[in-house]
Amino acid sequence: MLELLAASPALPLEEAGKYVAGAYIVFVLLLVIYVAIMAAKLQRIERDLRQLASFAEQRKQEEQREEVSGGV
Amino acid sequence: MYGKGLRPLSIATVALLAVSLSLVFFYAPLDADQGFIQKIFYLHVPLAIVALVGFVVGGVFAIAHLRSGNRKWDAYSYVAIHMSVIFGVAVLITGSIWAKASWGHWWVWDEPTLVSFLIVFLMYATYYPFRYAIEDPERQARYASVFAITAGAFVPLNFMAVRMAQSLVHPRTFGTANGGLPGEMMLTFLVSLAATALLWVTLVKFELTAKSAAGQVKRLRRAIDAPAPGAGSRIAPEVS
Repeated sequence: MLELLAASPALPLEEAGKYVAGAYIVFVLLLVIYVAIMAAKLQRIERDLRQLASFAEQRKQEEQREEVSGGV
Repeated sequence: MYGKGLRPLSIATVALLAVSLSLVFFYAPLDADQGFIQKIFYLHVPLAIVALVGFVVGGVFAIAHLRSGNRKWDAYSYVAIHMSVIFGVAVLITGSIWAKASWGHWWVWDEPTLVSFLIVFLMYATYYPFRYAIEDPERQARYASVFAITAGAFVPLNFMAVRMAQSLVHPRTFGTANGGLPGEMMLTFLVSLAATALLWVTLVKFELTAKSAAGQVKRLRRAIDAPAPGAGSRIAPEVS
């Protein structure tokens, strides 16, 4: 393995640049994928909350209607 | 209330990441041996350290869960391990890119540091199937905590064993024999480490906030007796 190390001198800048860029792009890409997944989760929570709000409102209206018809 | 302070934390993370990247590319000198390719070091090594520490932190949260019986700690442990596994993926990919550039191979099997990290990563990859193979939430949380503690204890032991082994090609960042890192490189490395650690904390907090919101919605649904939507089965632990 030491021979392998000795036989692999520093890469020239144009060659090394591709690898360095690749590593940093992978990191950014993983972050972007994670944020996208989290955004999808938040959208689902928001949709659930909207459903719950409309359900609660519908229920309230039904209760009010029942009260009115009970009073008559 | 997990979202409290998330905005300033996110801003601090982005700022520190920007400072760290600036130091990496405009301040830290080129390595005499590896040249420009050594810039991967400032990304790969902090990711590896934070991922490994994150696994241990997951174990500490698991201890808190077993001691108190509070499910909140189980959720913390789950999220810490989950985030560290994601960081682990980044460590393996960036490490492979660095290995290819430096050694001409994507992977070297006789290098203890690489193989030991892969073993730790694969061990934590089994955390998910192990956890979700158990249906009862109480038992699931308890068994997952035992796993997190055992695996968390294995991480530093593994690290020490590798450190004691005779390394062939993997560089030692804080090695005493060859003098370690020069000043500018050390400063850049420490800032990168702080930025990566802050990123981990921010993402953990972000994930906990999302889980907490999902848990609140679920409880609200139960409280007002609303029918559950067809989509979206929950497998991750709930956060109150």
